[in-house]
Amino acid sequence: MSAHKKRITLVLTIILLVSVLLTSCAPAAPAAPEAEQPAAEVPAVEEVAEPEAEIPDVIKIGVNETMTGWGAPYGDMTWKGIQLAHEHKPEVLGKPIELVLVDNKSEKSESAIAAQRLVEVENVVAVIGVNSSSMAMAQNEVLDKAKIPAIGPACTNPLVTLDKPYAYRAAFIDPFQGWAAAKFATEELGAKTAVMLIDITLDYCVGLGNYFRENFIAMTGDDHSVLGYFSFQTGDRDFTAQLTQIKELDPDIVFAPNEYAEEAAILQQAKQLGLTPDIIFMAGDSADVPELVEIAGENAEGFVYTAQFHPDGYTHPEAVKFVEGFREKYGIEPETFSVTGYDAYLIMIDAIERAGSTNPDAIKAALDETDFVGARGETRFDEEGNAILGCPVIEIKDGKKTFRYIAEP
Amino acid sequence: MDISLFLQFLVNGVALGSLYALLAIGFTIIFGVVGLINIAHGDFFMMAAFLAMWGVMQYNIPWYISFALAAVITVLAGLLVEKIAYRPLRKMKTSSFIGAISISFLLQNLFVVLFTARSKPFPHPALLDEVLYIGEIVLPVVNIVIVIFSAILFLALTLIVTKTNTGRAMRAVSKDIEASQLMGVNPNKIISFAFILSTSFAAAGAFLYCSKFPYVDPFTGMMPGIKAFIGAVVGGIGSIPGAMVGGFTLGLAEIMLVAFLPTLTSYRDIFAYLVLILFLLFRPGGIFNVKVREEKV
Repeated sequence: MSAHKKRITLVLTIILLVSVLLTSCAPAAPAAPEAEQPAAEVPAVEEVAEPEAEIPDVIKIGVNETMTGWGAPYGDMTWKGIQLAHEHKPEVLGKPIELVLVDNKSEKSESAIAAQRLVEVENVVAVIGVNSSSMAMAQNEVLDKAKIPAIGPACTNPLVTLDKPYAYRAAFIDPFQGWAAAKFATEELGAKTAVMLIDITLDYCVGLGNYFRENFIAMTGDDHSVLGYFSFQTGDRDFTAQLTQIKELDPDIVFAPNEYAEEAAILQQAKQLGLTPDIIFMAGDSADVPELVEIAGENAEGFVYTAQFHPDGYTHPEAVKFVEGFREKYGIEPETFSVTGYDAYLIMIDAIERAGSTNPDAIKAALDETDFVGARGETRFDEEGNAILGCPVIEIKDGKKTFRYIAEP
Repeated sequence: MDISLFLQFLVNGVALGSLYALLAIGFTIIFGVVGLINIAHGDFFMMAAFLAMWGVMQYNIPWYISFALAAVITVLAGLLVEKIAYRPLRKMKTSSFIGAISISFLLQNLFVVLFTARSKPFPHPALLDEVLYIGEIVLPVVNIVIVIFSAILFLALTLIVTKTNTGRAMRAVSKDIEASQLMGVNPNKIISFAFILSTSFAAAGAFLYCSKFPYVDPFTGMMPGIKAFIGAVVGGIGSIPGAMVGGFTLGLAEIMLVAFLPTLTSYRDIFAYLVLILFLLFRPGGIFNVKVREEKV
């Protein structure tokens, strides 16, 4: 390298090093592109640290969701529900509420980082998130230590709230969902035998699968009613090996609580191999996104799954307000993820109102005593902070989601 | 396992093997001619599928026009990437490889930003959803189409490479780029031609793959890309027959492994990586025992 070039290289390197040092020392900028501020543009907020501090001028509520990555459809619907709730109730304690949205990119590590950012940089009063159990668990590790109240929308794995006093969720947990699924399978479908087809890379799928299996065996009274357990990894596209084996076993139902893309491929190949319509395929609430029927098309006929909401199953005034408001604002049908986002927001605001302050312990105490009527009816929490709610079952008939059954706790 | 089940799996394996072979050819051509492992190849595969899907879903173009347009755009994108990212780094092998990795990330994240990461349904001719039932055997039509179409493409490629002047020039460039220049070959033109071939095959593979598994997202190209690369290495990187055989064998083996040992379905990817490691350790030249190029310092 010539002397001239060497000098230029040296100067550029020094500039690079200095700029790296400067940017790493500067305080981290808040999440600008992802945060959609519906109303307040001015983010001025006082630090709420001491117990008897005054209420800030703007109440900041953090939202940690899977806005990009494989969880994007779920995160998007949850965020829509939260925004609608914010419209219905934009103030608490006489002050405006500001939603701070952070995207965890459907990754556990990002979820923990997002939680930290919400607490340390945004100084939020409470957090709503995450619809996916894996991410919610990571988030709550951080939030519970920081003693910030968190309410999960649709996440159902029990570990999200287990032994975490500040963590709540506006949904039932998978032990209940597994029980509800087994109850539907044995009572409504009259199933005596089942086979499992599980995505073993996801906590939700494995957990829900296990709870279903326990309950199914208990309800049929037959230790051998679950004929087989087949697995795959997220991203797999070919299930013919597993499905061929399942066809040989010929169960009454296949319990496959997987994410929608793999589920659609499973349904397609199940139809090709002739498993459906004789063998019923059943899933959990992760199937409740429009993309599943879009991809699977006719192959989804007869597919059933436990969910958290269906407009036909809930007719009380708060539900109607939610359903009509959602249809009008977005032009699409609400479902599991939007309703849980909606109720989670309203429950948290209700608790803050009853607490009379933004003190985390006061909010927590108020949350413990929640008796709120949301879009899914009367909502109370159990000792771990999980909502006690009924579980509807949805069936795909003629390409449409129809409400079939509800299992009450 | 009875004979009809075996045949079903065999057809499925042959179809998947053909798909991997189509992609593997792209890797091997570029490696042969430029000495670059184009890690971004899987993402051109994804790009072709995505654009084809987008044309139909967003603009309501009939599928055959959308597929053709998507293929053309992907080929042009490949040429553009070659011109701006790979050509300046041609002399530096490691930097080229890093360049390819960057392009791979760029494409994936570009598509995430533009289209979101949600899996979207892939529109394809309804014929490919049909299933033939021959006695006990279940034969999805799409598998048959894949096999026939791939065979035609492999034949065409072999003819191009052996019978045409450009094909011969390509082989010359992969043997010795300087000597071929002395013979009057313009290396830039030949390398561009190699990229055109490679991306066209990726596009064809993409349409067939996404017709078989009808959904696409920005990361669709990752796994098939890696598997196809492994196939190309197993067959002998740089050798076109090697890529065909290697890719095909890997796809077939993946299906037959889980067919005979269904408890190992979660390990199907690990199996591919193990095969790669074993070949690299004991036979780095691959099945066709290609002499690994020496880096000219």
